[in-house]
Amino acid sequence: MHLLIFVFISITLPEIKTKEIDYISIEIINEKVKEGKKETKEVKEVKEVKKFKVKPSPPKQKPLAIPKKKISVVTKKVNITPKPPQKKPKIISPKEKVEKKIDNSKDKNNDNLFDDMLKNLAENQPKPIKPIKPIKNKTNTKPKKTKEEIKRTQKSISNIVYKQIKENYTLPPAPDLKVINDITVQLRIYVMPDGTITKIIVSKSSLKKAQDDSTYLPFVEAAQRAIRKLGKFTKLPQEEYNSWKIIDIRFTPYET
Amino acid sequence: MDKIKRLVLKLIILIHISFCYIFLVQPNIALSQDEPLQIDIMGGKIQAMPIAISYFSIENNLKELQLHNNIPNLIANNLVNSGLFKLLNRDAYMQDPDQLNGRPKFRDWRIIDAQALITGKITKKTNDKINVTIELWDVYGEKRMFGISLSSKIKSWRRIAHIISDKIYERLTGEEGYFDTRIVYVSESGSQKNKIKRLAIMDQDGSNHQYLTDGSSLVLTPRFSPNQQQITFFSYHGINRGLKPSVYLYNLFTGKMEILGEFPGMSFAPRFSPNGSDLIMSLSQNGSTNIHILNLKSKNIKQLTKGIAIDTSPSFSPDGENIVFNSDRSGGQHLYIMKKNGKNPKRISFGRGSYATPVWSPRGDYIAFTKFTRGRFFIGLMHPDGSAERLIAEGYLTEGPTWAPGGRVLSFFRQTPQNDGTMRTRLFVIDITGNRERELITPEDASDPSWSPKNIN
Repeated sequence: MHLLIFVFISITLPEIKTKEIDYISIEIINEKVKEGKKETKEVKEVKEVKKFKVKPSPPKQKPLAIPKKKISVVTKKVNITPKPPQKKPKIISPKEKVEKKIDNSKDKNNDNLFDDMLKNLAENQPKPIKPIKPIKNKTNTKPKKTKEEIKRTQKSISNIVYKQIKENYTLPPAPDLKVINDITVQLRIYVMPDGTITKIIVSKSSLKKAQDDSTYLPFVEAAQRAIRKLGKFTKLPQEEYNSWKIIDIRFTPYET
Repeated sequence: MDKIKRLVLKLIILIHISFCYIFLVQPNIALSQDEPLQIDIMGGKIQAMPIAISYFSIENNLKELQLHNNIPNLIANNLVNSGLFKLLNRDAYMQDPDQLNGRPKFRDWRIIDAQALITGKITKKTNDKINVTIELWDVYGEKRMFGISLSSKIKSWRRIAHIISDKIYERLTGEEGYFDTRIVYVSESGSQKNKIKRLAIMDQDGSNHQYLTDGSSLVLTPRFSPNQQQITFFSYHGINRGLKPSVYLYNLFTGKMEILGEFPGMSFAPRFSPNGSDLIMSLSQNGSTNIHILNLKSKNIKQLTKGIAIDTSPSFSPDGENIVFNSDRSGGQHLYIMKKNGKNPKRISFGRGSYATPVWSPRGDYIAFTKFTRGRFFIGLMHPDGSAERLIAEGYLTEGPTWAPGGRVLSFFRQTPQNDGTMRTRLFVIDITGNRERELITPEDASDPSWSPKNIN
């Protein structure tokens, strides 16, 4: 029995290693750009990028304790078996419904662009969000939110975030119609409890595309500019901090 | 003894329970992060990018030349004229040029919402040479985007400004710049019945204007060679000496003009091949007009199309492998593509109306053309396979598209009837979105523009 436990532990141990997320920090690049160098040098330096590693951080709530807010219960993955994903799970988020123009077919078209991203997310996140079975705990006296209430809260948060980013997003100067080309840009941002955006990370696939295609780079920069211009979110519900402390944003400059 | 055994066993069980908890339960908890919020931003505001172009700092002994104002002003003109940038009012700048020799105070520039900042410095290199260093800054990203240092004779300061403009444009849009270029065109003066048509050339912004011919003979359809040194055009130049109207070659360095051989019929609509070694044109004889290719070195001429139809306005693809032209072989006037040897002609236009003057873009992804339909002229674009046709400019008489280097901006001419019964003919510039059209200022009426390749000198 002990031997079995030991073998099982050995097998599962690699899964708890630090996960390398498919993102590259732009901040690191900025530091590398030395002033006084010519443009040709600049190109070389942009290529020297460091991979950003994210260590899985322990949850703030105590293990096995029932979270105080129901929304947290739903969005948390409590029972994850760390195994390599066989299929890329489609991440369905209720927030997508906020923007009427988004449809499923568009997501399918963009699947390739975000292969890396999705794979990465799949490794780190639960499969399609399912409400978990309520854990019995006598200490929990707060009434639980219904599925509808959770959806409503998430929709409201998404709306707040969407509006504030969109207000600051201006398309880059482009003398071309890029409707035909896929120029979606994917960013991940980290937000402090007071709404301050502390870090902007460009997905690896977006950054690689920017390095390969000079006409795509301005779109990456425009997306970053929108976030930097915004600087700080307002009106986000404090009690739902866990649901907006990390935000993945997909910019699609031209609606097709 | 049993007690000890039991105690040891309990201890082992306890250790294993702890062990299992740490390594089996804990990892799951560690991985159970919240799912990031997913947001899709569809579309964005379309507006000219607000940029700040500070006056440059300059050595005291150069101040009287005003280059520290003139160069940034010219850069600003170029960028603003592209329609993609908006120059922020310099009165609102909080840092002086001399304070901008190092890293700018980005906060001061964010206040006025400058998204990019251009700073520069001019120093004296030798008695007649200057050194211009500029830097482009990302104000919100608080980083330097690029820097460039150029030196040249003082009198070439405009050229320096154009090259810098190209670099900034390329960095901010990702597209090839077109400011360090020239345009040759037909300048028109005199009355409607007695038009004097002269070849003229100018920088793309209208400066350095000069006439190349004296107007004693009619000139039409000038076209730049890929190496910028030569211009080919159609002229009635030798008509007083009994020569037929023909295709001529003008050397910009020597000012010499030569006729391109004696052909049995009338030659017109000439255009260079991408490598400049050949000239493709139409020859009209015995009632039919066909496309021919002339080797400029050997003067050998080869007929590419045959038949009684009128085949004209040929233009090479940038790789030199295909030729687009217009023909009335199917009844209406339409666009066709054929191989460079004249094989496999294929019709690519199928819309209503007549199509003419096709020009293949330097990037190869579009063909610009003139279209006449419902009593109006249009400038249109389509892909080389004929797909995605769209019209980007229109007018009473709108014709003669020509591509700027980079293939994202075009020039054309438009004739507009005036209230006094005369016609006003002017050159215009437009980008392929069709959104940003502006007039190119010329001293007189102007038609048939041809945009030069990028300056290679």
